[in-house]
Amino acid sequence: MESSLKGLERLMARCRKQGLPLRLGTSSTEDSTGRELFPGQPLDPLLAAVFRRVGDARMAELVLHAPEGAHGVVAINKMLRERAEAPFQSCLVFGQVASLAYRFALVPGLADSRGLQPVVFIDDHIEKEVLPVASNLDRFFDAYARSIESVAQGNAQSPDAWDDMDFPRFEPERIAQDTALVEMLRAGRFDGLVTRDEESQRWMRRVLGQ
Amino acid sequence: MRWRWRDDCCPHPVVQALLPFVNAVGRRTVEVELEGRHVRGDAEPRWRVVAATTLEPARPPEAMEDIAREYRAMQEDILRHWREEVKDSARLAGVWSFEQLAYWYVGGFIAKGVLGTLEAVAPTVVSVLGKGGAKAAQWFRTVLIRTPPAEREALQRLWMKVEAEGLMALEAGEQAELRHILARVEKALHEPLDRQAKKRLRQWARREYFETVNPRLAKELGPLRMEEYEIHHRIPLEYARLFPRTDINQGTNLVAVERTVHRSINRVWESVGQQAQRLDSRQVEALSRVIDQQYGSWFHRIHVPAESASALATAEQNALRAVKQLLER
Repeated sequence: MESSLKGLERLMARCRKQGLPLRLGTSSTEDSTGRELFPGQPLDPLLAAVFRRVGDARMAELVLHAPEGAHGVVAINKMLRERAEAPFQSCLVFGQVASLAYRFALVPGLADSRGLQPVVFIDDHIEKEVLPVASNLDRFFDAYARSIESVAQGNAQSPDAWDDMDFPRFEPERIAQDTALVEMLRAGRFDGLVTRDEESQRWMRRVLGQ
Repeated sequence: MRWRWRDDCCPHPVVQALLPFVNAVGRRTVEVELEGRHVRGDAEPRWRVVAATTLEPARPPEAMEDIAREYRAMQEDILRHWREEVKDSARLAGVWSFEQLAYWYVGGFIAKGVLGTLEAVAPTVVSVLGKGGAKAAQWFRTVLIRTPPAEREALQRLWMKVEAEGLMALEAGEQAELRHILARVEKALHEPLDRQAKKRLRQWARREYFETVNPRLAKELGPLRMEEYEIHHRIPLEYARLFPRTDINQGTNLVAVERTVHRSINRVWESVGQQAQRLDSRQVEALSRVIDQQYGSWFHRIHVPAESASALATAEQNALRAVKQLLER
């Protein structure tokens, strides 16, 4: 499965090119594909491949949690699930924006026939928001890398263009290029997970081209 | 700037005296002192320029001195770059930080006497900036951060023109656009922040906290562990509309807490539920004090979640109870 992490490779290359934070952790020697970190929720094969490829990592604003340890995927998700709050029961948080409560999670219950799970963005502040981001983990890395590319190519007169790179919100059109994700949205697979507030719904309409 | 007459001056003394003043940026008024001499028998008197001086605006009040100083420093910066052949002043402004931009705007608004003309459309903006001081500039910095990029760019474009050519150079449409942008800024101060604005403010708060407010904690944590600590706003961004005159990103409102603590604090704020829409600023401050009391021992400190799990659970229960009581009053 490692050979299919083209999006991850693209993201790492982009970080190197732009001089953005890039830290690779200790990669896991164990193949945890299919292992259930939580009952009934098998580990996404691409996340297992990421653990083997880079372990915990930092790429631009994105922090990828380690598989194990006090700040690893299991510990963090146990903490987030303590009070049985939505959406954490049905999601596996694998990363976040560094030092901010913006999280990225896989949705085991929506895995496709190959077992690949879609990715959602969770604004974990007082007013929660859940947005679908990619049909699988590598598409997520690819979309993030391409968003960095589009900001880098832009000529915005901004004191800090990177602060305006509000991924995934600022580029719903890019998310819409993930046709598998759009099909899932049209089929209502994310209903009940995506938040219903005006801003979330407006973003959804833009992804769906409505 | 001051020019002094020399004996070898050219035959057009006024023009010659004024030439050095064009080697600068922006509009200025120059006072020229002429001395006339009439020699018996000559048809015309002879004039010479004794001195030429730029008319400086009145010294700003003491409270505005820091802004005026920053503003002058930035004008010198523009001038220096200009002379180094950076012709596009907008490009220069593009590399300024939000802090510098805020000083530039606020200093300019004060120096050019623009505030009075904006009072009708942006009373809160004028009232805060009118007080002057670094606090006003820092407040405006937060306003700029939360302003959508397109509006920020429009404001920058218009203000560049004012800086270079004077307020009167703005055409009627541009003056209306400037007023419109500031009216939008004013309106936004009293409305809930949208998610983009909140994210920009949080990103800025993170940098501000670890680089300026508490670099010692950043050093103690190191870059790796720092990623586990999240920035908590004591008065949450969700209630910023109730505090339009407050810099919501000021250092005293920012706290770094380990992820587990932050999640717990957010659960307490979430417990307010639908009542959030009806809270006033006094109630929000009271709720914020509850959080400070219950979670203060974890603020700005390194902590191991496993070691304080039960203390954290107790703090959360206490805070939830106190919040419930406050909301029932």
